[in-house]
Amino acid sequence: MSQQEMLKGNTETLLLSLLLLEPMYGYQIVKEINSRSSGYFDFKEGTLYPALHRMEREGLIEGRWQNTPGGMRRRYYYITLKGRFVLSDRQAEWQRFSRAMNSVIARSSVQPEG
Amino acid sequence: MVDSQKFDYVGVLSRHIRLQPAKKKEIIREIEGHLEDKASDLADRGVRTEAAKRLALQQMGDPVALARQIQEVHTSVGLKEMGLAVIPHFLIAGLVAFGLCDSILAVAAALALIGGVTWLNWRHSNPSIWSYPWLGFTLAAPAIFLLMLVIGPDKSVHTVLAGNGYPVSMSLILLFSGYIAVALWVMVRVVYQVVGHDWLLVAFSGIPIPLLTAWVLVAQWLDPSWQTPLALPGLPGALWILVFFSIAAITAAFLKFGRRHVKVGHLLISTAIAVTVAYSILLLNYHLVPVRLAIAGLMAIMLAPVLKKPLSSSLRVLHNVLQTTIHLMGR
Repeated sequence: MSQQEMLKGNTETLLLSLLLLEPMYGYQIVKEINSRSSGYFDFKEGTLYPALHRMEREGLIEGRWQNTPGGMRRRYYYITLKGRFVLSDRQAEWQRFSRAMNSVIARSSVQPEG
Repeated sequence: MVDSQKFDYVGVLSRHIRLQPAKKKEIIREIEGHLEDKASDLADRGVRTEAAKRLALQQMGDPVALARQIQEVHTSVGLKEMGLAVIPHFLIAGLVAFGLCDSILAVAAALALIGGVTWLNWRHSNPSIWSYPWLGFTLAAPAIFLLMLVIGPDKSVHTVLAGNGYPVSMSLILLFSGYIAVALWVMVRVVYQVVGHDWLLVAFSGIPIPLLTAWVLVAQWLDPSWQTPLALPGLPGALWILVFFSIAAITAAFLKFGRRHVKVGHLLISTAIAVTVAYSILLLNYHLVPVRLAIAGLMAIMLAPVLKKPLSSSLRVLHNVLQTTIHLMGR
């Protein structure tokens, strides 16, 4: 599975995790994902807004227009109570998945030849 | 040069996002803000201003694809919204099922409920997508009264009101006349507003109109004396219930389909079948001009999404001509 496919399946979890830390606007989210993953996640910027709007319609986040510290008007996204519950479920599922994955991968890791 | 590229990008987005003007403006403002932040960030990192703006546009991706995804998000519906959208169809089917079509109280209560829900949705000009079928029924009521008026001088509203179960009084006739005038004014305003951002929603709202007008024409044809104006003379009620269930299914499917071209195709095919079935019997037996006009008008509404560009260009020209005329008259 490519990195883009894995990212696509986990976009909501990533966005909710970030917004749990603090409310952010679109470009700030892209920068944060890039910075926290040390550039590993190459987030396609055009896919961010459909994802944010879908999550807002599902009641997971809420957008509000506010001024940035620099005085620009931007739409900040806040995680809702429903979003917190969903994130909690996703995190627990991710923990179970990664533990199971690691335990299988660790026992069958490929040794480089030579 | 780059600013004109940004202008073009935003223009393409604006053309392909067909939502309420306020919502569309908000979305475009948000994406413009992102492009400004990105370009400014790249410029701060040493990229030349022109190149930074170009890169920001490139990284946002194809504007048509972005607009399509945003459109799908904002027009997709869940089960709850689908349920709300089909309520008016079941309400009319219920009137038929319980034989309440010739009860002025039951019809008035249903109209008041449908009109009330429509008003609640439209009062802030930000209606939910599920409210469009309610709007269709609200607009269908005055259209049907008008149809009754044009069917013939001896089949006028006065005669309709004189039928069984309808108390005749001048105040009632005045009330209906006032209702038609107000409803027409509202109809023109609302249709103009909806056409302004999406013709497809006009066609969607209009789904029940072919069948309701066919209902009236069949009723008039089978019972010219209007003794029981809308009581489905000669036709089994079960058939009409099935008809309203079918348009409820068409409505639900329209809402469920995500892609715009699928919605257009679905609407064209299903309504063309509905119009053909509903009017074929009338065309064979009842060669009235209103029937032909109704078919032409209904097909024009349903074909409008396909003919959107030539139609909107014509409307724009008409709007400009009217504005110029008003301006010249004012001088």
